[in-house]
Amino acid sequence: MRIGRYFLMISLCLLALGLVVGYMGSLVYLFPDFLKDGLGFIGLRSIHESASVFFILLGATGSVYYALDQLSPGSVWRAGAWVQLGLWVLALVGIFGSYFAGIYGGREYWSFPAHWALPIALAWALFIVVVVRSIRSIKGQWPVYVWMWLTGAVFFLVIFMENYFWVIPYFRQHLIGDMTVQWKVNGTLVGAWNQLVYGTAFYLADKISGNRKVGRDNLAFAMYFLGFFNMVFNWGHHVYTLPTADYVKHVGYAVSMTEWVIFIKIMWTWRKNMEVGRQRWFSFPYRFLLASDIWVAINLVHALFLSIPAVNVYLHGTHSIVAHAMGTTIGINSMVLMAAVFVFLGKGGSVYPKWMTGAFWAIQASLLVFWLSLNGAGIQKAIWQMAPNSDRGTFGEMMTDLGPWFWSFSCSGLFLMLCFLGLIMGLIRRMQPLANN
Amino acid sequence: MIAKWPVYVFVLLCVCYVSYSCLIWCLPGNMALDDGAGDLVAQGRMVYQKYSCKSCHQLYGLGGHLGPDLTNVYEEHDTAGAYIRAMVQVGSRQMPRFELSAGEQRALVAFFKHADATGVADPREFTTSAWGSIAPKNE
Repeated sequence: MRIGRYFLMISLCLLALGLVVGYMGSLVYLFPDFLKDGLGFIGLRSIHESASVFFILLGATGSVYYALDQLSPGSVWRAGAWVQLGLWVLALVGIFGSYFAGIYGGREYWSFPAHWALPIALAWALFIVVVVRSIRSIKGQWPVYVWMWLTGAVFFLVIFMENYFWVIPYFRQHLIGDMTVQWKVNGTLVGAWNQLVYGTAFYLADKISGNRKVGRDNLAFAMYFLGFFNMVFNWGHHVYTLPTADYVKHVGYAVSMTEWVIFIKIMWTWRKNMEVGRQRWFSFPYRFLLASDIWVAINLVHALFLSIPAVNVYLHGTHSIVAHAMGTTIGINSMVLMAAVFVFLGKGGSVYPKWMTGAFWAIQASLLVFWLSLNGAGIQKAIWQMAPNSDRGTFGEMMTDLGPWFWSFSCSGLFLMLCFLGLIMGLIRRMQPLANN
Repeated sequence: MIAKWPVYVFVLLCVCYVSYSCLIWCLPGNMALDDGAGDLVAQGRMVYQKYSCKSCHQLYGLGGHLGPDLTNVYEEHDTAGAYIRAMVQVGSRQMPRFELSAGEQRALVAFFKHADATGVADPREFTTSAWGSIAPKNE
């Protein structure tokens, strides 16, 4: 499927860009003058964030197109998808061009000037049209992943527009209300793209296991609706220290605790997954899906503790929050999307050399060191934040004291980048021939 | 037979989303801090975005981690306006110098003054309850 392949290939390029620039950004923590008179940390961070987010969005789009074409052959509206891709290319050129020119104007994770959001919104509207046209042709009961794709596609657009409410003076004139809306958006937007990514994970599990009940049983639907419920209400943990309405915090705290149900479900099915895992271990997609399961468990426990206000208040504003963001995007989203690109682009079977298995394991190990380093830095900063003024040094002294954690995080980041790049190159050299559609 | 219950739950959650969002969208109006500087504060917020201050700095702990939290920077210095202008114009070890116009500097200082008046971001200023919630000490 030509259009799906283009989406996935651009997505992999964005992943590579995000990794390289992310590593360069980590060097600023070690060498403060690094690129100071060039792109600087502002440029590096903006490029890293946007490349990472767009990798997920385009990777999910390509995966959904491949999956829909397999579920209902010929149902994907090619012309619409090509126009969508064109709009994305326009947006990518404009956004990264702006960053290299030092032009910003946006907000957290969306640092580009607001007008570049327009081609993204149009592209996403087309995505909804293509998805809806395609899923209408699926016969019988929709499996849970179709519901998840529909939810992710529709809600992403709605929330993405809400992301630009700040252009209206009513919102930006009132800092606290505006910040509440901004962090509601950031929380729910991640929830929306997670619906696309987790839906893809369900589809792959269905396809790899050959068990069509995986995506159709009541438990799968219960998990989907719980995720949807959390997407709507579970963003309050971002704003626990913000002097906003109390109900926002209480609702966020109460709803976040329902995620224990997801954790218990993961533990419940763990043993079964491990047994099946041994049988299917030769398969790269299965390895990545199993890795994403493990990272879901690790990040869920971490997130559950961060959702308790009394814990959050200590770690808020520290690198532990960066560990949460990196752990979920790299550990969960990237693992699922790597599984998807191996299924949709790779030749499968045993064509992959042994060094690629080594790279897979090195990714997991370096990500663990990376995640632990950020948490270590976060805890040390939390101790500094809570110390009385008489006992603590300046912010600059605290950052200098965090040096060993930053070295560890930067070195593991370098290893992570090299292994991901190696795997991507290994896959590209062993891609399926392009079908003529 | 095709089950209808997923449709009903889906619609219910969509209604929940719209209702809760409407409640949140009312917050800026309900929580307005009437310091008579709305337009200037909004301009300052735009300056903060234009120069991507959030890449390195935080407001209420939300933002980048390379530089300090700026929520109460106005209160922390006796000559806050001059301090903020000097930092922006000169920079520091990692912070580049920025060329802001006089109007942008004025708006940015007004924005930080407004941010400071909204509350305190220091985590030491919170108390915790037995069931894990937190509240500012002065409440």
